[in-house]
Amino acid sequence: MTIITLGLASVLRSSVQLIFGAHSYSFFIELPNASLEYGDILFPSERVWAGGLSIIAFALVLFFLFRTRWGVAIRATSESQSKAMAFGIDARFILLMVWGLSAMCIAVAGVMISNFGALSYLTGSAGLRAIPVVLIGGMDSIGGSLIGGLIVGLCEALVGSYIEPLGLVGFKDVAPYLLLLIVLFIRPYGLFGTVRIERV
Amino acid sequence: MLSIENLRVVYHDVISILNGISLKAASGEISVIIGANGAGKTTLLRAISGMLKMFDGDIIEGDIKVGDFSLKGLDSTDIIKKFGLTYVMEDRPVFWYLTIEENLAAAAYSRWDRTVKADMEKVFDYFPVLNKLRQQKAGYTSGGEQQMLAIGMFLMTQPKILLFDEPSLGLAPLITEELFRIIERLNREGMTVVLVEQNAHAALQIGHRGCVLENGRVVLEGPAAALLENEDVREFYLGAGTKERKSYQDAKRYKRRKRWL
Ligand SMILES: Nc1ncnc2c1ncn2[C@@H]1O[C@H](COP(=O)(O)OP(=O)(O)O)[C@@H](O)[C@H]1O
Ligand SMILES: [Mg+2]
Repeated sequence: MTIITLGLASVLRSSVQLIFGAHSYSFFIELPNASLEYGDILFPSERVWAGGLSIIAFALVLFFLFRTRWGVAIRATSESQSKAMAFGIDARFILLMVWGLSAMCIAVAGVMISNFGALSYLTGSAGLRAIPVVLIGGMDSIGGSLIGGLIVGLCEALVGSYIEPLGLVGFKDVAPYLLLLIVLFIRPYGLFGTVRIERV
Repeated sequence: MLSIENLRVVYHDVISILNGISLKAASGEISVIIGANGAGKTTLLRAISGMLKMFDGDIIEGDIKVGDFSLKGLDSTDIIKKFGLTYVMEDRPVFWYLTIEENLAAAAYSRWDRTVKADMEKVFDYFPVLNKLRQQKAGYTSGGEQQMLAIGMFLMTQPKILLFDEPSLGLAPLITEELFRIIERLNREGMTVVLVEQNAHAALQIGHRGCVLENGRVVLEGPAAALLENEDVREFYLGAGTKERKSYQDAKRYKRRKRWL
């Protein structure tokens, strides 16, 4: 599934490039101004919208996972496909559903990210930033990915404004991975990775 | 009536595990299957329940029928829905990271009728120990409680036929005894049971019929009471033969006898 997804991503990216060309489009959704200012800190409107919408998407995903029958089935299947099948859960359908669900979340994220500036066939590479986010937070921790996102975002922003000006151009993109390395040395399952239930 | 006709099963297209098994499990009875580790008991249950594909196994010959309907080619979801045949896997197949209640809900996932809630309460009536643990993650409960939960989950699938794989594995003798009483009770209430066990003595005592599986073949078959009396079964599966101790000589003698079976 992972391989298929990566393959599909590269097919889609190339198709977009073929159809729309390799140059950037300007992209902007008209949304009411929601910029916030706290003393020295300014949150631009489109960022506030992005933050708000991610929190809503996050809440919806949580609700789905913990309060619906499909959510229970998803968590069961993620623990053991064979046990799930043995109790009549169609594991293949569940996998497809999870795939669709993540595609939907990514679509929201994609639109929001494009809204920050230009839209081109390379916008998708922003998704790579999700890797340090989930690994720092802990692969199997849902709250962890939220915290991980904040940590990585802060890290990028701080490095971008305080360290890069010292002459380290591009360090902003590397910093999260350095952070990831340090976190994994100390906590291999990530900051909030589940403590495995062990029996002896 | 569950019938297995000359069943042959391979894993990964090459490893032949079941080499022509024929068996019948009558409705309303407890059929016991005993056999050493690696004999193919689990494989047989996987084949019946439509779980083989999951483990890259295939039925290459023979058939499995409930009544006149073949189960071949169906997957577990269909088999549970159409025939009420549910397989309780070995090693307590509960979801560790779900609560007891969520485990029961997961097992009822494919049901849309309105009796799910009521059935869940029935399970809690059946197993009062689980009632106190509703919100507890299953991974933190004891082995006995997990096995009760597994039976509860089984009951949530509205089953008529139980395939039970080594339920007593790793449980204390007292719990095992309780477990066998529960199986007996389910059977009295009308459940057809296929019970795979290493604990041959206890299993044959509650069983109606029994068979011995070895290297993917049925080597002995008959009424459970007769198997309990059978000299070879006593010696090699009940550990209570006339000989004081199994020696290499005995094993050889058994091999020789086996060829005649
Ligand atoms: N998925 C699999 N792939 C290959 N071989 C398997 C697989 N599952 C079981 N086996 C082999 O099949 C044989 C029978 O296994 P099994 O049916 O689990 O026996 P039992 O339950 O009687 O102990 C064993 O030799 C085991 O190694
Ligand atoms: Mg087994």
